Amino acid sequence: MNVRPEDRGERGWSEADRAKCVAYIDGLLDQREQLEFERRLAEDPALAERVRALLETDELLRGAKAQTAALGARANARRPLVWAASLAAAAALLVWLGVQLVRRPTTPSFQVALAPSFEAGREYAASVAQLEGLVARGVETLRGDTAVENVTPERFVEVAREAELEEANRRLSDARLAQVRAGYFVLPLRLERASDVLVFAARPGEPFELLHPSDGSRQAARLPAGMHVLPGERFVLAGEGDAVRVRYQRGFLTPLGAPELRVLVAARAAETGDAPSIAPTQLEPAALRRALEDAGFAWRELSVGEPR
Amino acid sequence: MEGPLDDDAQLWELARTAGEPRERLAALAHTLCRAELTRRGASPTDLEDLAQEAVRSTLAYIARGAPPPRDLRAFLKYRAWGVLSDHRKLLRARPVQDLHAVLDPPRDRASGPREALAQRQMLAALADCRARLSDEQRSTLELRYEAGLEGEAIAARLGVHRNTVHVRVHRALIALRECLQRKGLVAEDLSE
Repeated sequence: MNVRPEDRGERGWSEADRAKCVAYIDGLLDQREQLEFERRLAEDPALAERVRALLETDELLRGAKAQTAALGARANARRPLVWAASLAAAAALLVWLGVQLVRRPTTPSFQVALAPSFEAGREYAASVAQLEGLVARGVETLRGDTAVENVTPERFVEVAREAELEEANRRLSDARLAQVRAGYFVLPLRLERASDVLVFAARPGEPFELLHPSDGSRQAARLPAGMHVLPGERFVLAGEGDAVRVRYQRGFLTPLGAPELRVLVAARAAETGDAPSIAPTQLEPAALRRALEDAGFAWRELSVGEPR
Repeated sequence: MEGPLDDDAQLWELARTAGEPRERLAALAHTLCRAELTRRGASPTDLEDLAQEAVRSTLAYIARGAPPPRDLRAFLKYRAWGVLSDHRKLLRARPVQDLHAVLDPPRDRASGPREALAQRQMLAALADCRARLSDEQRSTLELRYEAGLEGEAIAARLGVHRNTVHVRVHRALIALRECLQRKGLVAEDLSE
């Protein structure tokens, strides 16, 4: 019997299988071993999903070296426009937070809520009534092989966006929804004015880790007034021209084995400030909250649990 | 789903000898493997050769008496992965001028300011996630990606068995992926 990826857990992988997966993606198996391994992949979705994850991350790392060089060259040409694009995002953020004690910005009014998300786009689409019967490029697999595209990817994403913002509004108006249980989650957010928004998360007893902006950059933290869904709306457009299609974004991951994930969302009116950096130790919960308040941020704390 | 799978198993059996079923299976393998190779970023100049190699090796496997896979179409997709892994291993072993194609395939290059920003965000997040790995995992990845060494060479450098290197790479890549997921940076492509 095959084991579903979500049921196997990280401990369910033998050392031999772990080594073989990497030997496979590295092209180190002889052809007989390779074909037998591919037969296993076709029978075991969890194993196939694991190999796909390894392949994609391997490709990402192999591409990163060349991209770093290319982007570095561009960045040097327009350095003033680019902030903090280099190393540890959290460390960069701490410098950027740069508490300005003298000219403290006005605290913005904001509302934030939690919404569960899904591993697969088809699960999410099935939960959205407005998307029923819609088929666009990139979502054909949701409706089976015989489905015919009946809307453009742009129209599909527009309907999905309207539905997501409607649901976000509903969540924001219900104060009871400060807790969810889900494998993935998103944060509906309403800002009354343009603001810098930061999201941190921590398991009980552990320090906070920065979730948003994922690169610690000032540009990504700054959001205009209005409704938002962090880290992003679930259905977006990908590709260009004739290749444009619908793409699904899962949201933030609830770590496996975490009975509770505390999520801290902080926002302040979009004004710049610079001053002393905050030491990394201040990512400890109490110190982080103090530092945020000193920097003019208001914050809300929410709670996410793994699904039972 | 039973019907198509039974048909595919029958096609596999009939393709053991030359004839129309073998041609049909070859055509199916060619179509599916070529599509998967394209999706995985095979270069256009290598695409047809790689698809042909996937077909050839599949037919040879059938001829050797291998039983039909449970899901033929999935198996053919993974055949494309295997062929591409072999090909990229060969490219990595070639002189430096060919490495550019391996490390920076055209589909990965930023084409505008928005793509450049997305790449920059991904690189920064990746650096942050790598910094969170254990010392052992970080040094193994440095030898693999920055120094460009293969498993055997890394094992010799670190004084451990090659399988130990592979297990470390496995754990490190999964930890990086989970870290990127926590940051909302690994998306699911529905056309997968």
